[in-house]
Amino acid sequence: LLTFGAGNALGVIVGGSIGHYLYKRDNRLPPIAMGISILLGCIPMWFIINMDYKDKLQIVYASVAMFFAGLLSIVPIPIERAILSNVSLPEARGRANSFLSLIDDIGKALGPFLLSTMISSLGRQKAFNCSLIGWIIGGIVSCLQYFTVRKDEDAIQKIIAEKIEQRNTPS
Amino acid sequence: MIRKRWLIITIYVTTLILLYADHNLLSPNLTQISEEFGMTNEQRDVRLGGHISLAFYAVGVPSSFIFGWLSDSIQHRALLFSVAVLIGEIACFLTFFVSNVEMLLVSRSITGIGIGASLPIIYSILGDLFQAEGRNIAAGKICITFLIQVKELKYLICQQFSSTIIAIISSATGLGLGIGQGMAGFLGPNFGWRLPFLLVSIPTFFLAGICCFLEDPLRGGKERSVIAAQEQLVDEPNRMIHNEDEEKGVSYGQVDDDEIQDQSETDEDTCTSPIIHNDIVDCKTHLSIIVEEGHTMNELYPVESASIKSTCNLLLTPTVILLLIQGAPSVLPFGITSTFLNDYLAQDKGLQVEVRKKETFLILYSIEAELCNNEIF
Repeated sequence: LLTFGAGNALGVIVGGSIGHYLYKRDNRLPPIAMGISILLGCIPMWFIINMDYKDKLQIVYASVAMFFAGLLSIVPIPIERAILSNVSLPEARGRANSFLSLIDDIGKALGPFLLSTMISSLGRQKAFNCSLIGWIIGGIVSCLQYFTVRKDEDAIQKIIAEKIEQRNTPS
Repeated sequence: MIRKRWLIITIYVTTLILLYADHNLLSPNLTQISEEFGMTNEQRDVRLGGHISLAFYAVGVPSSFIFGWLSDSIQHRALLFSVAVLIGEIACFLTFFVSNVEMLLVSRSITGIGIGASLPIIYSILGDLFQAEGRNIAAGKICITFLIQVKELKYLICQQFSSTIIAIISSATGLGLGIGQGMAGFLGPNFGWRLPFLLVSIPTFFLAGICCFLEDPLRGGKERSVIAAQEQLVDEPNRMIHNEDEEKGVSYGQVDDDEIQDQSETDEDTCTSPIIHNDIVDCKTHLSIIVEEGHTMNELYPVESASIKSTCNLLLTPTVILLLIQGAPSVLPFGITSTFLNDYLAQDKGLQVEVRKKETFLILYSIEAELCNNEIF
């Protein structure tokens, strides 16, 4: 679990750097990185849930898997906030971020509740395995932003440019 | 007024760390609190563990939305941030003096306002502190370099690491939680569960006061379109400087005379500031105001007030919809790491946590758990 935390700590910085690097190349790539990261995060998480931890070597493997699960699952944090800022008007960013925080907070309350419901019918291991579908869906939805993000960013810039033009056109 | 960007970021990050430190001040000392208030173990889990946590989020979630809306409507977001922090931290401070569980419930739920409100305001400010992409100043308008000079390097560095700074802001919340939990865990058994609330709230009051003096970045000032318009504004008078220098025998290269004449006429038509046409010194001063303070940007980019229509437009943006949808299913696996994984590995897989390492584990685990559960998606 500590290696999961270490992966998280590194993952935030890695996510920020990757997001920045990819954005400079193509502003559609950060959502892809975000999606791939979430999807790849399922693999080490699956190992963590299903390993039997009988010998010390498996604990070492599990620690490595924990590290990568922590790293990969956290990479989207800086990217998603940056994307949200880029596709919202400067005067709407507070609301945009509050909606995302709203989902975070509701999820924080609902996530364990839904999991506990699944556990009661499926048992812990099966419920945890099934819950990984959530990351798969999240990763796919994230990749879908590839098709929308450039258009939305350009639309925002167009609105801003039009506002500037309207303001500075002599009446 | 504090204007240095690195200092602004440092103050916001430090405030966020302290603000989030009070989030988990109760949990390490639940038993001690329940004994003081004469509660049974069941009451401890239900009232202290359940009700207070629920009240914390029940107040925090709507305050997040309300302050998010306000941050789009109010001009001075730094002041709004200070107010949110103060509301939360006054309640945190007063937790030291509570004498029953009802008072504790009220003080903790009000503390939720500060935490719920802070992130939307911070991200709104960040969006205007940094550009979407690292702008290459050298390849940009060379004409403004005489204004930036030494500052150019700092400016470039700040721009290039904008995404990383968002990551640091995200980490600050997790770090704060870890520090708070660790502080309460170490101090609680020796000095009582109340002391950590004082130790966290008092320095945060001080920081909230400083936040009032942080310059609020100009809304939209870092947008591509606004910068393009800004550079155009800077470029035009700069060519006037060249024109006047050429008259004095200073050569900067070939410039078409007719074009300059046309430009001069255009400037006379559109420029609202007569000082641009007077002399070079005034012109440089004017440009430095544009570039460094952005005063004229208010005239350049009209900011609309928050409205239901603009909120609907925001929620109809496909990428925003996808970002919000992405979060819903993703909370399930994070529920594993934040709530069940520790117990699952210990009970179902036979891995035990050593008692003496438990506190250290909790500090680090709270960081990662909160990063997962609180921030992402």
